[in-house]
Amino acid sequence: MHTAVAIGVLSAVIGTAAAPAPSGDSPSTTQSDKAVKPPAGNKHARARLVANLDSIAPGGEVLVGLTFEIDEGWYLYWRGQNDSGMPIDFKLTAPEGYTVGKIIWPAPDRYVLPGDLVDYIYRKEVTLTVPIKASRDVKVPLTVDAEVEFLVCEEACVPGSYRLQAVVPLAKPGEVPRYAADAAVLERAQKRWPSRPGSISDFTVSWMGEELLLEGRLSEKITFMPEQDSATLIDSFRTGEVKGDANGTRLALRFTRAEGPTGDRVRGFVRVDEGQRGVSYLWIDEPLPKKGS
Amino acid sequence: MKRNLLITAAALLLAAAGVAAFSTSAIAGPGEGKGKMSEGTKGLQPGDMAPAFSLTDTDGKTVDMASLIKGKKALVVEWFNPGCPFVVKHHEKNTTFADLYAKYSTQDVAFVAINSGAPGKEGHGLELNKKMKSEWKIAYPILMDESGEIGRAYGAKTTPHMFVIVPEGNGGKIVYAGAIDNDRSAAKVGDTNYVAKALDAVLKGESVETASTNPYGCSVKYGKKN
Repeated sequence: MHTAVAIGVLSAVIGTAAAPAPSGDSPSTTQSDKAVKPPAGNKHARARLVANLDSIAPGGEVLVGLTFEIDEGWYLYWRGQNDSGMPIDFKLTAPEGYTVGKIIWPAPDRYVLPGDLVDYIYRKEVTLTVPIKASRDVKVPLTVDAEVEFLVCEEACVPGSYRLQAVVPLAKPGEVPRYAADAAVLERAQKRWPSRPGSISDFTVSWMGEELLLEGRLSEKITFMPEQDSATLIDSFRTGEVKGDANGTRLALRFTRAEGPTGDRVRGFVRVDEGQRGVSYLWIDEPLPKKGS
Repeated sequence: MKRNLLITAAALLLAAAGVAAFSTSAIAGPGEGKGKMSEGTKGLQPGDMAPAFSLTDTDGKTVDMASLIKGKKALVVEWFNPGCPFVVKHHEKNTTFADLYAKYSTQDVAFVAINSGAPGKEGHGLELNKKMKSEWKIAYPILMDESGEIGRAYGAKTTPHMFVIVPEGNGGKIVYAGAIDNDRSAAKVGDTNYVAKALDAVLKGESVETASTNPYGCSVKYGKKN
């Protein structure tokens, strides 16, 4: 029989019962049967760690993902300017000799609730990706420890949490890391990463006075989803999304300055729907125009 | 005048994807930016007059804003849903609201909770609210607003969503709107309670320094509008 891929060495200290076994007979190293009952949310959103490679070579890089399988009808939150809910909180540590990059969040969906509330959410599956780089003289395998807290909602909301661990072994000298089975999970996540701005033809981003204009001649619908640390989008319910006509689509947005280091910048995802041509995402990070300019 | 931004966007894309971001081992977590001021969001803001309300409490008694605030220095309004984990955090797992009430009700501050959940939604129903009022020993009235009219008038987004109102003319003026405190998680209580700070200022006759924050919690379970 085929041996399990190394990343399958995965154990959930909390919420063991809810975490699906990755493949075959996965050894559970730190399982404690007397563990506290997992929080209610773990039943509806099952988390595990994945990696795109089966080993990591000194000086190399691996993509590690926190992936959730979410019950039909339920959803998790992006770190957006949500009117309610709580973004997934994900902390990850790696041993010395490894450098952990920033979390790459995929673009969420805009979701409008009764009461004109706007949230930015993920349904069915979401994967947060973290690139981890090994130093050239690294001696130990990559043991990743993750702490996860989240709120999962349907009509009602329940909190959940996981402590997860995964090990990516060091490649033997001369051995080239191969793609792991879970590389497909990380690939799916990349479909919701922002694309290159030029890749959407006839689409422009510009300032008109204090308004940020998103215009697409071929777009059927444009959506702007502000990040939580961005300047505040005024009236996201009325202005955050617009459907166009045969002449294209134009979304005009206004912002106010927020506190914090990036409160004077407009940051967020743009979703561009082009009908049969599909859906693209862009990332905007622009300073607010100076008054009177 | 139009400035085109397409070129700069290319660099931003990389930053967004974190591809070139290996200089730090710190992870930009979603916990950043806790308790930030909110500006320009919809809903009522400090300085606005507080919409008057007249609703029934869990004993079927009619309670109106004017009688609550009359003769008081302030009225604290809490948007409430007993099924919401963030409400549970402050009423059951911690004593945030009980502590607030104990400290300020003796200083001419009135309290009221409003449930704007629609029939059939989480936390709705007289019996449930009555039960939780008794279980959590909530000393102030919980008012039923199942049409969501008052919640919408205030722009209440979350449970909890807090408003501090001071008497003004025949009604009241909002001096604080937003979160209860500065920890937006479902478990931990923050080290700054914005409502307590607002009340301290009101009682000293000072203006409220942090008059508006982004509320956090479950969405108010409004029904669909007809």
